[in-house]
Amino acid sequence: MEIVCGREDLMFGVKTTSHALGGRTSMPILGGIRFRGTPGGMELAATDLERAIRCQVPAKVDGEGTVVCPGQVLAQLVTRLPEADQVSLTEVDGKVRLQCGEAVFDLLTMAADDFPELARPSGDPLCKLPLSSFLRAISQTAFAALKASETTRLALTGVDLVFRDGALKLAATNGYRLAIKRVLVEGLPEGYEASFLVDAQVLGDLHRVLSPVEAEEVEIYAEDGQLHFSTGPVLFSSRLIQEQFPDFERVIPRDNEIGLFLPREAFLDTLRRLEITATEESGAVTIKVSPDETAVEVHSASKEKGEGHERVRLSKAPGKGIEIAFKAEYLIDALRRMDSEQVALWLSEPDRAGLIEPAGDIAPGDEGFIYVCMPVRLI
Amino acid sequence: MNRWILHVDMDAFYASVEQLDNPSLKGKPVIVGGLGPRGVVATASYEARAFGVHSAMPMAKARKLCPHGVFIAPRFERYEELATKIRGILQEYTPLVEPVSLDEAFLDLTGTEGLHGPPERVAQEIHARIPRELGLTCSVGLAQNKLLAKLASAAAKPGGLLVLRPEDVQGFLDPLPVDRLWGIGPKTAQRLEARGIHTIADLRAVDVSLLSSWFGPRSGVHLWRLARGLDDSPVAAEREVKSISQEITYPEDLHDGEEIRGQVRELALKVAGRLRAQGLLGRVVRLKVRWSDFTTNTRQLRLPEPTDHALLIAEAALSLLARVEGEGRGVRLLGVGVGGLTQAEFRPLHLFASDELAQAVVDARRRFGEGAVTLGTDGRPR
Repeated sequence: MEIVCGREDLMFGVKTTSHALGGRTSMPILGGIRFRGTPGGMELAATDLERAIRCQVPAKVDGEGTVVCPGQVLAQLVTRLPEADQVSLTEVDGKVRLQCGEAVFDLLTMAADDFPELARPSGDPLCKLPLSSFLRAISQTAFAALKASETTRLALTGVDLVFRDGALKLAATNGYRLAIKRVLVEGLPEGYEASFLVDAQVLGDLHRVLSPVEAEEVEIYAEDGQLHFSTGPVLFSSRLIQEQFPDFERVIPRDNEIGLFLPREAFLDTLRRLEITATEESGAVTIKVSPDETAVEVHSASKEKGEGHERVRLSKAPGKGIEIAFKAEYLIDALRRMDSEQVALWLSEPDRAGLIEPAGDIAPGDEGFIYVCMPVRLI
Repeated sequence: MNRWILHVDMDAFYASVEQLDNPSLKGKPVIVGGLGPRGVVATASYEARAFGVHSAMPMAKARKLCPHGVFIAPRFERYEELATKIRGILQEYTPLVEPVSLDEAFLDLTGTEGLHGPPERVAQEIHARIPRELGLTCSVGLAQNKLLAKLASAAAKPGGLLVLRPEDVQGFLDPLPVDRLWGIGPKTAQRLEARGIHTIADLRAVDVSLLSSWFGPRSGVHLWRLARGLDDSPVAAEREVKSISQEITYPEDLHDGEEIRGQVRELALKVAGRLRAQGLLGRVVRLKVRWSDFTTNTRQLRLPEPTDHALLIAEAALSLLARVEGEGRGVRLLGVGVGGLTQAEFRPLHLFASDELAQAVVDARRRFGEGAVTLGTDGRPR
């Protein structure tokens, strides 16, 4: 088998698939990238069994075949190849000869038969949606999940993907805050309802992999106990977490009366400043407002560092006063992932969850985003 | 920030206790220490010190210097009993009490004015109360840091009280010999002496770069600070409990998975109850399992927020349990512990595990006994 392809195309394919390299010593083949040549072109694939990434690369293929090359070596090599338009890959005596300009490498290969079978969606996609809004949905939710180091139970390390009513809803929580994003999708069957739990880190990788792809839409398939995301030349498959995600709809406050309409950036900057004088243990800042005032007072204090306070103007008086404390980091996490000029922080009681949503002229990227944050009770 | 640190030093503590318990010894040179052939002096009464006897001196030498002295073996239990009483008095003024030894303690009085009045008055009160209530005299030093407070109490000995104000610090320090500074050992003192540096004033006149070239940059800077009476070491209150844990060893090994999980939940409840009772939150949950073959597994994980919530602790402990492999062995011992402790001056509220529930569980168990409420769930935050 001989393959000739563009240097840039090979670079893209290797870089894309390298996000799924496993390379555990227990199963060395997972450290490999599989090259499969067909008359139509070349497909690169890698998997760590948690996720699988396949990438189509335009190529001229002479004779069909499959070889697996060590992924790390390739990933390093492609970034340092000499300037040349084309790269050729030839299979010779169990090695792969890679030629680019004057550079020639004979790379060791791995047993292609050991490479795991990768399921490929065969039916129609469940739905499709604009790639940009899908990427946005991931970046506005995945951060909120529990880190793998903070639990050994997997439910909260995942992002729940709920398909229902012509929309996809993503939700992630660490138990203290909850990020939810609803995006409209196309083609979801009438009455269809299902949810899938995907590891937040895998979704983060999906975001990294899909970001540079030049394509308009992403198609989502739910098959073989996996979710497959297909866009342009890339097919990303993720295993599902077989755990029950908590009933997050239940904890969304629906009737918080006190609405604080705040300038997002100014509020964000204030929180970033006052986070500094919050105590290390709680990271809490207090937000205080009077019924007829058009400003909130944000305050933080710690025995070790001192204290600070700052006023942030409101676009209207809330009608009811409140004093409530939040971990600054949790508010910052949400505000910095929004674009709208204004946000609304809806509150009810100092012990009850607050809700953040975009307000005023809602930026397109913020449509369908809500964020629930539990307060800190100061004693 | 201006700090106020108090140093309390009991005068000839062990010897004074002996004189207190046996009034016939009053006014006599009393020497407490090891009476064996290699014994050393622990404490000498001021009467004995007049003969040149001092602590850490070989007992044989003390006997030579003060042949008619009363030599007594130490009774540490009695000293500890009194030390506890002294500490009780000190802790009325601040929880920040650092006992250095049985007869010595630092107090951080910073910010206690609102409760107990000016630190100077607290110093006077403590200085008067200890002799009045216990019949033992003490020396008290009050200053801006531990270094100065200790020097002040030493200067006030015996039985005195010295308040060192910031403006008086330099005048107080200057004439003192360098080896009086805490942290300057005999070796360093010798090397300083060799360079003509005898007093703290001498030391203060030496440029820090020169000190660094003699002793290295770390010690150089340290000496430079000492010469100016600078010290920001904190008063470390009594060694804090680093973790709260509960363990059970079972008379018969446990084999049933559901029973084992039930026991872990029960331990988590106990730990949560103790956290609540002591006003603490913890962030690190640990699980300990000892198997029938006596091998022990411990696993831990760090939670996103500190907690005292029984459900969250139980959930974490159960998830750790799922990660250890029994391989058919029975469970001999189970332990659940919480570390990374912090004062419960705040409480992060959880979306799925309500705080009211946690408090209700703790209250019910306190009122109706531990069997009254158990965690029948599998601990998932639903």
